[in-house]
Parts: sequence; C-alpha cells; structure tokens
Amino acid sequence: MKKNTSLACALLFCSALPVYAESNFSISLTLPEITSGQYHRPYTAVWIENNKGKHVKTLALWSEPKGQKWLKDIRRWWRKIGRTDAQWVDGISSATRPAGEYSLSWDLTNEQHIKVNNEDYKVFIEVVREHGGRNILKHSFSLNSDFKTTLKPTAETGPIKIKFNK
Amino acid sequence: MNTKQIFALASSMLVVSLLAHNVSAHDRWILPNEFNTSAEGEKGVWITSDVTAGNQVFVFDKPFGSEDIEIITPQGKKEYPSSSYRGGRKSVFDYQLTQPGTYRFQKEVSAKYYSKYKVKGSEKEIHTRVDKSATKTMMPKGAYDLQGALYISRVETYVTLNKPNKEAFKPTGEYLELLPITHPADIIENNETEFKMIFKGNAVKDVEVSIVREGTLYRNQIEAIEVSSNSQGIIKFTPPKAGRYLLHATYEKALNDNKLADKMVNAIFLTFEAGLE
Repeated sequence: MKKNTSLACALLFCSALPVYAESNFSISLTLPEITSGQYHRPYTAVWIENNKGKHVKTLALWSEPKGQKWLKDIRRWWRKIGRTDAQWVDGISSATRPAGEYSLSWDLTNEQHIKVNNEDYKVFIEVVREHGGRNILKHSFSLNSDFKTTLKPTAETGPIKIKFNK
Repeated sequence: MNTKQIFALASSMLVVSLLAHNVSAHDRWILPNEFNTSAEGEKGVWITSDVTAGNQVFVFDKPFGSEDIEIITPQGKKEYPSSSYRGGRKSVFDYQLTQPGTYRFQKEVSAKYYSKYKVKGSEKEIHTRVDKSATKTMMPKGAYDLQGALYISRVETYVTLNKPNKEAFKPTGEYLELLPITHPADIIENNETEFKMIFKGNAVKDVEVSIVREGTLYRNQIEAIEVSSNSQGIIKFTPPKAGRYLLHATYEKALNDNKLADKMVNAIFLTFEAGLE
C-alpha cells in the first residue's frame, strides 16, 4: 500500500512537473557577512553565456530600484547585456540582498524563453559592493553531462554550489 | 619692413616658440571623468573633462582651449560644451549626455603651418607660425635652411551612455583619422583591440602609433605599446591592464611641389579606457 502511495505521489509529481518546471540546473550562492569597513549590500548579477561569450540568460540581477547609475559597476554583465535595453533591465532587477544563502536556477532557456542546445556554456557570478570590492567568478560546463561543483569563497562571495542533473 | 610688421613678426615668433614646443613635445588629451556610464530614462549624465597638454600621461601641465571643443552626438549632430573654464594648468568643460549612445568629444581640427629657418652666425632655428612662402617674405637677408610643415592634429575621446552605437565614428575624409573597429566601450584588458587608420578616407599604412597607460609618473619605464598600421590601415594591440590609456598616432607625408610646406604632419591623440575583464 505504501508503495502504491509513493507511486501515486510520484505520478502526481510527474504530471505536475511541466507546470512547476523544477530546474535541474541550480546554483546556491552565499553572500558572506562582511563586518569590516562601510557595508552596503552588493550589486549582484548571475548569468549564462555561451562558449563564445555571447549572453544567453540573466538568472539574477540584484540592484537598487533607482540604481541604474551604478549598473555599469557590474562591469561584465553591464557590457555583455545590461546596457542594451534599459526597460528589460528594469523588468528583471530586484532589490539587493543581505548576507545569506540564495538559491537560483536556470530553466535551460535563453532570454526569448527558447530551450537552448546541449552545448558548452559558462555561468558567471559578479558581485560588486559600494566602498567594497568586486569579484567575478565563472564556471564552464557542458549540458551533455551531469556535474556538481563548488566555487571557492572570495572576498565578496561565500561558497557557490552549482549542480546539474540531466 | 615697418615697425608694425617687425612687431608682428617678433610677437609671432615669441608665441610660436612656445607653441611649437607644445606641438612637438607635449602630448595632448581630453580626459573625461567617466567613459562608460549608465542612467535611467532622460535623466542624463554630466561629464566633466580635462583638456590639457603634458609630458606625463594624464598629469596636466599646460591648458589648451576647451572653448572650441566639439561634441558629436550619437545621432551624428555637432554640439558644444555647456560651460568651460581655462585655468593655469588645465582647461575643463562640461557636457550633459541625454541620449543613449556613443559621443565623440573632439578638439576642433585645424591645419596650421609652421616654418623654421636659420640665420648666419647662429645654430638656433627660428620658428614662425606661418607657411613657407609667407616666412620667406619676412626672413632677414642671408637667412637659410627654410623648412615648412603643415600640422594637423586631432584630439579626441569617446564617451558612452547605456547602449553604445557607432554614428559618432563617421569619418570626415579629411587628413588622418582613426576609425574604431573595436568599439571604445568594448576595450577590455587582455583582449585584442583593433582600430583602422585612414587618410583622406582611405586605409593608410605605416601610421606610427604609441599607446601608453596612465601613471607614467609613478613607474620607471613608460611601457609604451608601439605598433604601426598595415596595408589595410589596421592596428592591433592588447591593453595589458584595465585603466586609462593615451594613444598617439603620427603620420608624416612629404608635400612635393608645394610652396607652402615641405611636409605634412598628422597627429591623433585618443584617450580611452580599458575595462576590467
């Protein structure tokens, strides 16, 4: 009976899957507590590029609501995509976050919501703090195989765990 | 020669000896406070720029006029600074970027003749700020070794608000010009940058280009990157570090059968920023 329930649950879950598309590509990003000096919550961008450096999708943009003036300081993200469309940026940005652990995911689509090919990509995490430093981290991966990795902490980022299950 | 003429000649010589020094020895530049800016909507961004000549990259030494600075907007229109100031060691001008895109700030381009000659009994060259044939009429008897040159210089930089565009690159087809292939907003440390040198609108080879990172005052070597344009007019170089750079391009051309000058000297000073990776 127990088996049946779990089977039923699994079926239920499966049928719900396309609707609540739980991504198989997940990132756990930690913003560390920083106690030295003046502290402002960091400007943060997380995004995917293809292996030729072309923008694929922004997964997170945390900046001040009226903070377009400072967006250029998220330098690579700004250069690659941010500067191209102010309205779009307005639509995707959300408030800066305090220190803590955050879960992000990629639904394997591009900005046009079209599924991407199983190729090589890079994920970028750029964190910039006013009166603080800047760190940019990247990880190359292929959508052809599962992987799991942890990027080492830097001054502006705690451990970053990236996981993909096909 | 009447007194008036002598006075004019003497004063022009005096000015020229200072000016010629500027022309030959000092680098010149327009240095904006920011090269790449972001702002929402029509809010705009104020840019303030130094206009100076100096021997150390970005250490201002001598002012030169910012009144005749021209701004080419992202729509290709010509505008002027909203205000300017001339100080003892530098000039400054302000301009507000209101439209997204790339602006070119440039010193008005002017072609100027300079000549020089020697007089017997002195090895010192005497400079004039007029062409060869005019100098000839003013020279004292027995003067010799008369040479004249036509100097054309461009002093420019690019500043971008939000999304870059290329309208302001448009060459005029006059003298030597630098056409960005790599957009100035996309010059990044450790990445190759490519520019094209054109003369009267056509690709020109053998333009000598020197690129120097700011801060020469605080290092022992200039660390200049020296390149020259190929037959397609192309120069390529890789900025080794993020920071501000001064590019100085020179191109000399003999002027045959020209009564006014023996050669033409083209110079371009371009200020740009190499961004962090």
